[in-house]
Amino acid sequence: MPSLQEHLLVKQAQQGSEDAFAALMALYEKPIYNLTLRMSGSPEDAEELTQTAFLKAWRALSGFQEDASFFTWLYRLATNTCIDFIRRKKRRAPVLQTISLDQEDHPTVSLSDHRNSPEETVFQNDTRQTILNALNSISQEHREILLQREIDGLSYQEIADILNLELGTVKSRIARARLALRQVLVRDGNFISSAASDKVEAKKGGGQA
Amino acid sequence: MNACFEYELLISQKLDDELSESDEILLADHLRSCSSCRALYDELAQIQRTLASCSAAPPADLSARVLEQIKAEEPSTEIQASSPTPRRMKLKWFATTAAALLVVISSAVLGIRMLPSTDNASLANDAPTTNEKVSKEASDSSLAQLAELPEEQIEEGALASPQSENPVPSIQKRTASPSTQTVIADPPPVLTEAYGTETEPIIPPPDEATEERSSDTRTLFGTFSANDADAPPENISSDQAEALLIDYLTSEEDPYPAIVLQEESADDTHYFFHYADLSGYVWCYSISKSDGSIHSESSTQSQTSAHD
Repeated sequence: MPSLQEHLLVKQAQQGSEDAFAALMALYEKPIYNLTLRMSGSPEDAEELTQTAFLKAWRALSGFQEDASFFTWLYRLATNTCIDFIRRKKRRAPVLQTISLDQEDHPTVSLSDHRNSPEETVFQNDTRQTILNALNSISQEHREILLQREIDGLSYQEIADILNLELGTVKSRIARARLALRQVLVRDGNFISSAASDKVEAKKGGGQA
Repeated sequence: MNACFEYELLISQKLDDELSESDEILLADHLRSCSSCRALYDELAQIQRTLASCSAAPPADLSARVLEQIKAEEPSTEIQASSPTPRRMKLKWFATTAAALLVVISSAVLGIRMLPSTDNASLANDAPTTNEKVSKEASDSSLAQLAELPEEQIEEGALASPQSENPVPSIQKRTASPSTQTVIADPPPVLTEAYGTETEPIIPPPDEATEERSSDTRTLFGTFSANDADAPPENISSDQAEALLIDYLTSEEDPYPAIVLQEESADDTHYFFHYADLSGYVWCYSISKSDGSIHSESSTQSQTSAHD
């Protein structure tokens, strides 16, 4: 997402252009929706939270400083909206049972397959569930950055802005997160890949990748 | 055979298409000759594909719905250009009144529930700028939606509302409008005429102080003083303390807000809040009960990160 394009759209939206704002929404609705889904645990709440976040962004546009990253600002606004929501609802168990809390109250992700398409093979569903379960075994830090990258679809730079990290830190943390997740899968013998099953044999004797 | 750890970072970057050209070549060369690294790449790619498939698509009409609400709040040029005919006014009157009655009745009920200063204070900051106008966003989305519904009709039914002439400032005014305070405080002009209270303006001009706006809730049933901030309190409540903290956390100094309140406690002089943010740190803050000053205690890496 070229920041110049974002910058121009934001300027136009600030001057009242609803079309420009519509374009911004089209760009960012997916990551914002996934963020709110992850934090609220239910698609209905996520929808409402996403809409609320965008509406707030529209109303607050005049207060947005041009030189900052609009997406980072929007992401934080959405996060704050979710925090208020969570605090108020005291994190009730959502219908689709997607979020639970570990002992330290971190949201652990068990994104159930809420899209539930019947055409998908059982095999694919198992894979997805396996990997999602494995996600809960890696650290909070790794899990979040991986989800931001893979599910929210954020770029390295966007993650760096949001988490206030150096770009290099983001790159290495994502790499470590992936390796950690893979390690969990391999260790549990869950990896559905011929290369991995070979590796499981090899691992019994050696160090780790 | 183990994958070569010095190429792990490059492999990860390749998955994200974030490799420089020279690194691309470097990695491609290596992958040609290293089967372990190829296997690692394949495995990580599979994980990536699976995770990506968990990514949810928002409902197709989500942004359309947002636009609808935006358009409904903005006086359209169409309405601006043609003055409403008496007939149209009358039809709108019914709709407006019915909706307004609903709002007034429910807001009177809600108004009572809005009494605790908690809600007022916590309504303060959702947009992460220090702009005061911005800071008055209603954070209760369901109430806000309730508030928004009749607002649309109020806007359409109003004659020559001042906002209609300048769309840009009206965005700023809209900042104030969706707050539940506004709806509770400002019944539509038709009803206020009937009940003899003030009619101007429909949307009150945004003040600078959140406390000011939230101190009085005007309804048709009377005025509730929802905030005892007028008289200097001896001790702030824990909700007020938390609100101050949220305010602080979402200010420019702390670019990333905490996510989950883990723990709340207090002693004689201070409230303590522990927040965990997305990167795994646990932030501890103490807030003085007497003056609301905020102190950051040590921040520690959350323990789960050690479970790697």
